[in-house]
Amino acid sequence: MYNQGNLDRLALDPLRTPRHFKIAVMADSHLWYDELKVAVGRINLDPTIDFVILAGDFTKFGYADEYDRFTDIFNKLAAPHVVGIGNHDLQADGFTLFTRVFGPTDFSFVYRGVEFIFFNDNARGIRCCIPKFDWLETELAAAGDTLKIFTVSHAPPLSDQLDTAKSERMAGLFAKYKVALSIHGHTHAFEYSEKFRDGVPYLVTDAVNKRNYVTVVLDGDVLTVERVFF
Amino acid sequence: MLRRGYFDGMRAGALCLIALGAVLCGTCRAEDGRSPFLPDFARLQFAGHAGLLSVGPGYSWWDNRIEAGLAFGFVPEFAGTRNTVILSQKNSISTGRLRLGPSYFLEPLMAGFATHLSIGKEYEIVLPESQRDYYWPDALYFWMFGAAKAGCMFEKPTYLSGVAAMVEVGTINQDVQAHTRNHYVTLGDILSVAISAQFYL
Repeated sequence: MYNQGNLDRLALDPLRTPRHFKIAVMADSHLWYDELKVAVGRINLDPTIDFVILAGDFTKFGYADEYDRFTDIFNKLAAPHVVGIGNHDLQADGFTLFTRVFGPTDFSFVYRGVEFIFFNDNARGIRCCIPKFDWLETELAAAGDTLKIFTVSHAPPLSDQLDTAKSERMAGLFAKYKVALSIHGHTHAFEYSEKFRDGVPYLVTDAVNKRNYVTVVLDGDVLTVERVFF
Repeated sequence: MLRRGYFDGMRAGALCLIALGAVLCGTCRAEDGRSPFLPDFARLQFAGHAGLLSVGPGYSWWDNRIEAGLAFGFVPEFAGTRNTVILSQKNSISTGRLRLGPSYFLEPLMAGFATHLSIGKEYEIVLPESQRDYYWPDALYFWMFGAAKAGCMFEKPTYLSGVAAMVEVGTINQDVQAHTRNHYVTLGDILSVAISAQFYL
């Protein structure tokens, strides 16, 4: 599986210094393959990036050809890279394709003292079971007091994918477990704010056609978020 | 962005096409004395986004220059994500038929389009109103193609009056969109080939 192969590379990380890393984050590459290719080239110029996250919507129609085109480009990243699922990736038979190509939609891993929790929150038109709140809370609780928590899901709370009840439940869990950063895409509009004024910072990236990605640097307890234009 | 008017227009267009087809079927074809509902040919096709294999009947007009057909296609799990049924309606026009001797013919230049519908709970044909400004109905796609056909009409027809082989080169609307937006996606990337056997009845 694509994601597991990259997580295996992360597990080989010789530098075990906790809470010191730099990641690149992007989302919503859709059909903008030319821009994605430039972004990959630009990220490859920065050897300090430990790994790359794409927070969903790497397709427009959820078709197999789009999965192929995206992975052909994204595989050229020198750094390990992990892909979350977006609402467009779920179209047609996208869920089957995603699980076949990338693996589970909901998963977590620990990297240098931070637990990263990826989950599917594309719930528009779906009443039941998305996001999997029980699974999410179990993962959040598992971080305990020693690990910081970064969550990654495509749609930010209060977007069209999450109704008010689900948004409030999600935000409530993030606040309860003191999530250090909640990473999203979907709106195609950069935003970095404490959305609910509850101590949880929410990062929403631009779409790739706006020719920028975001770097997140964690240095101890200090979080620095910066847009890199290409 | 797709607007509601787009879908309403698409439905109206589909109804007009069906009505036009019925009129053609019931008028032009009545002249040769056959039932207007008996098809003129059956076609077996490989690939062309209509399924790994598809089969169905069709009608022709204007000395076989215009053809329209329906097809039932199937994509087995090993060729896709799961067993999938695809229904197709395909139309083509030929610039003309060259006679190669008393029986053989060649149609060197044809063009056409097909409408494909993937059937299954994973695919939506009509989107909920709240999603029409946002998603493409993922069951629906259009195949545009150029083609050439060569065949033979039997001098003493029995069950069949002739056979032909056709090669199509085409693409679907979603791939056209990817190509027009990107240098990365070349014309060669989006074109695919379909071959079919046509049996004239």
